Amino acid sequence: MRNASGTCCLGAGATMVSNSDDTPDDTPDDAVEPTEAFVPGDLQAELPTEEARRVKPAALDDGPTRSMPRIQPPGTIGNPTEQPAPEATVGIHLEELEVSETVGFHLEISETVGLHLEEAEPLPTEPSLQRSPPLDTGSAGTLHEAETILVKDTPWQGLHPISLAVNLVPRAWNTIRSMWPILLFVVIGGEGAGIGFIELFVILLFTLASVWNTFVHWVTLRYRIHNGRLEITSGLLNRRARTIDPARIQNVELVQNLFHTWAGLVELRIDTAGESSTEGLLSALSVEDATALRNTLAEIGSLAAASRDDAQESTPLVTMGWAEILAFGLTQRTIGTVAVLTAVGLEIMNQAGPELTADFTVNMQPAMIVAAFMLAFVASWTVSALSSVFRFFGYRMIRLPDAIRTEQGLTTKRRVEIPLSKVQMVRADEPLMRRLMGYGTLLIETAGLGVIEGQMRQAEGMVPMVERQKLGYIAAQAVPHAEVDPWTAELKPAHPRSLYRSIVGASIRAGLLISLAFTFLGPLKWVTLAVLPISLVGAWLDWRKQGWLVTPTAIVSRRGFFNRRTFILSRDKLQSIHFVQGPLMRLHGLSCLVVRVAGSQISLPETGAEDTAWLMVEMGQQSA
Amino acid sequence: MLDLIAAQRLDPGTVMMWRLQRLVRLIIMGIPTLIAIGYAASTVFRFELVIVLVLTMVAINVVFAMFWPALEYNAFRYMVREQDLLVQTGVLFRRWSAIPHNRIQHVDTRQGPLERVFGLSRLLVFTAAGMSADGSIPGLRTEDAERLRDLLSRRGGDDGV
Repeated sequence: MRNASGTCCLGAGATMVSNSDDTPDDTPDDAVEPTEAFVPGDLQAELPTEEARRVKPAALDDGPTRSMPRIQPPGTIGNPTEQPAPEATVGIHLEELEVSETVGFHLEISETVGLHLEEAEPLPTEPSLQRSPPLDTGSAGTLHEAETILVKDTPWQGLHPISLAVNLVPRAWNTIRSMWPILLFVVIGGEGAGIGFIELFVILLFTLASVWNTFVHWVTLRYRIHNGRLEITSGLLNRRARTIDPARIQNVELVQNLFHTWAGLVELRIDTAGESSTEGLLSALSVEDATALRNTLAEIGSLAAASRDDAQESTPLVTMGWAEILAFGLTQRTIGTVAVLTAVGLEIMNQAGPELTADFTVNMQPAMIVAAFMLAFVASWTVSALSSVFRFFGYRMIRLPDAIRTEQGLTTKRRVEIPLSKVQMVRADEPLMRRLMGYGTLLIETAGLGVIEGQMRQAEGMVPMVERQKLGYIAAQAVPHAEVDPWTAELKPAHPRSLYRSIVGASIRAGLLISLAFTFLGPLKWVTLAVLPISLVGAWLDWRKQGWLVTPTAIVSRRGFFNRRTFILSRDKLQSIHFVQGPLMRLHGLSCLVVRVAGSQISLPETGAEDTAWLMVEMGQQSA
Repeated sequence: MLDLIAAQRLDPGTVMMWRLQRLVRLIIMGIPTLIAIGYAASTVFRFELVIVLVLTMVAINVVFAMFWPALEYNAFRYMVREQDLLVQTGVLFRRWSAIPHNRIQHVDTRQGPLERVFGLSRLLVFTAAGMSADGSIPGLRTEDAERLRDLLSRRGGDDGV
């Protein structure tokens, strides 16, 4: 059995995973079939590229399908000879063979492979590459020379030596920053108690650890292009090896912080749909190396054509002036938030109790309190305006033949490239304030789930300020297949009964709030009565501005008044379609269409029975 | 969306299994919780009253566990069409799902201890849309589930990612 599964491993890098749970009670002919098809000698002759392997099972496909009716034990799935469409499986497992992520899976692989490598001559299978130390490239390389590979393999390359310096400071700084409470304690109260030394020692220890990590990262990280795939290995004790199929790359981001700029280096972040964290792997490459790698990936992958530096001269679709950058920062916080914050603050002041208020009034005049609040708001606005400057200085968006490139940043420069074929959805955010200024924000989402600097990234591509008239045009650049402009097309409204529902909902919420206020609040309770009309008007406005549109090529959904969002997605990206109906919605004959694309889901406004029936038929055809 | 005549239902044994599942969950999780709450309440209310209340709650839960699975069973339909898999589910919150075959990334069958006793399996269909399964069909005969799994995972095509 061991032997059989060993051969299967050679057969297809991906299938061995499922094959390893082959049950021993496989029928004999099952065990024989694969071995016949994949005699090691045969294999060696043409084991080759992924393409060859994909073709092979297809040719054998006819025979084994007869076995489908007789129900097979779970082993069937993994049987390479019987897999008419291995692409899905192959993709999943090869996209990112990362050991640390799915330990159970890959440990199994390495076990089998290890066994096999002892038994037979080392064959260039995926797992053996993954496991092998970076040094033995020579043998693997020569084995592959005879094969038809689209892109030439590159030797193992490492990070740039200066990366040590470039990574050290930010990492050490991050460590120290994460421990600022201790530091504060040491600085303020630690003296005298003699505790300062220990604390400082701890901080020093952590800093040293991060230095050591940086060093290990630099020493061990190696990457290369092999067999048309990007392979990255790193780690000293916990070795990680990652194989990335360039066709699966969702977007590529070049990041240059100040240290990078000084050293002439760049960090390359490659986002695939499976991995949440893209940071820190290729943390410092020389600009030439990064460009070369990017171009190679572009050649074999989904990114735009390689020679794209001439695109630098092409006119950008969107640029941002100072006024726009500042306006973006200022409209980050909406009037609503400010109002709520003010109300909450005032309420806290009033509720803090007479003693505290008295305390305050002794020390401070009410006018000063108000002034303090104003100051706080001004400060928060200033901060967000400043951060907007840092983020979006020099922003420009360029449409390449088959990709979108955005460049932005003052100190940390980012350049994101998103292949058009990977764009899942475009979202337009038009908060009230920004809308009044005549602007909107476009977010371009791919399937990548990015976590950048510790927080969930909203979208991979962002166009912060677009004039309203241009929103439709820019959105169409990102989803060219959608062929719809929600800003000129007439959207279908939400069902009138949906208004009834939302008004009832709003009244109930307002009623709860008011009753709470009347039980707990003092004289201010009468003010809360104003919540009722406001929320009713809000519900009406929200309903008024809702809209949806389903064309043969696109789905558009628009929600909200205060923070209006418009979702545009191309129908060829749909993953699954759901109609949802709650008990109350059933009462009104309403239902809601939810469509999922890779990475996100959007829901349409509530539709009545007629529209729903139409949508069901329309979306039913979608599955074709 | 579902043509109810052509649509398939779950294995009838599912109802019994769901009842047992709910009972087991009630015994393991629900009753201890109720007792804890009752114990806390007995400091405020009279002991007899608390006993009655707890017993009533348990009784309501048992009755619910008996008849709700039947409703769930009745509400559940699934159908494998030429291009997609349709699933209708939910008693109160109803949900119709359509998952195109070419978007299916992988298909799992799972079996818990109770399901094993009944010879049933759950089928989970995953697309690239997210971490959670897009479609799930509980209560299939194990061989049906495996056949369906093989059938669904066989179709290839562009996954739209």
